[in-house]
Amino acid sequence: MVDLTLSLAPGTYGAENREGPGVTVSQRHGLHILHLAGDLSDTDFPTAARHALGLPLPQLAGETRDGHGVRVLWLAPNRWLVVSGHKLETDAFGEKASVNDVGQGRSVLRLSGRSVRDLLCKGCPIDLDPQSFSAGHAAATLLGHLNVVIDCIADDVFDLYVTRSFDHFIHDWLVRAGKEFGVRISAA
Amino acid sequence: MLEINCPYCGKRAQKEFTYAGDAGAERPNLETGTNQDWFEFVYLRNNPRGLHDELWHHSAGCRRLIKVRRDVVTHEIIDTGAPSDSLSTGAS
Ligand SMILES: [Zn+2]
Repeated sequence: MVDLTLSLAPGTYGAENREGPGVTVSQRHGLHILHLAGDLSDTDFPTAARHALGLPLPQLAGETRDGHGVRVLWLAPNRWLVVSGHKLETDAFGEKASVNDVGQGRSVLRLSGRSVRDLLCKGCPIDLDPQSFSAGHAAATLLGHLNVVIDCIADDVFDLYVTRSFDHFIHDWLVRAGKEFGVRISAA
Repeated sequence: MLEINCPYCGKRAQKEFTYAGDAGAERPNLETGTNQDWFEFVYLRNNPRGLHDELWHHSAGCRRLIKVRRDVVTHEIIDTGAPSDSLSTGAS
């Protein structure tokens, strides 16, 4: 896939700290992203999905599951985001599933650093306290007016799924909002 | 700002929702509804002081429609649920 994203030039923006930038932003490439829909109450669907994914679908609000190089994010009742490093066959989910490849339309940013929660808090209405939003939680929500999916990978590591055409905007937003912490945009 | 308890996602800020109208408006029967019934359904709404059932769309979350029982005087949200749920009256 030709990558047409127009991000900010790599470098450090905003405050300079002795400990280094508070947040590092890098782009994740080569991910396959599927939007999966299906009715859990029809047992054929979750069974086929479990075979295709190699792990059971998360069923709790905001739950994520990980394994065999696949990460599955609960988005809504009967809706999931499936992220993998290798290509998954859409047919494998069976006839009861509706699978759409949305990888071309998403930009995935990896945010890390000691100030990452403080930065996200500035534009996101959900409670990002580590007690309520920890690794294994993801949420479809807002960040600086944009619809995003935020996936907590570790205490100070998050993946951000953004509509690809807003990639530049979100970089710009992160840099402006993160001025006080220092933001490093790493080379692609 | 209101905090709305989405029955699917949990408590979320009002910012994530879009108001989607009166949950009590009943669509007239396609066969038997008169012009007057349709006029009332499309244009006329009660404007109660107190409890009001509303539809909200969790547009920046799960993208489901939900039903919210809200006191329009105090903004207190009494209960939320799926559009087909019957909500609590708050009188305990
Ligand atoms: Zn919701």
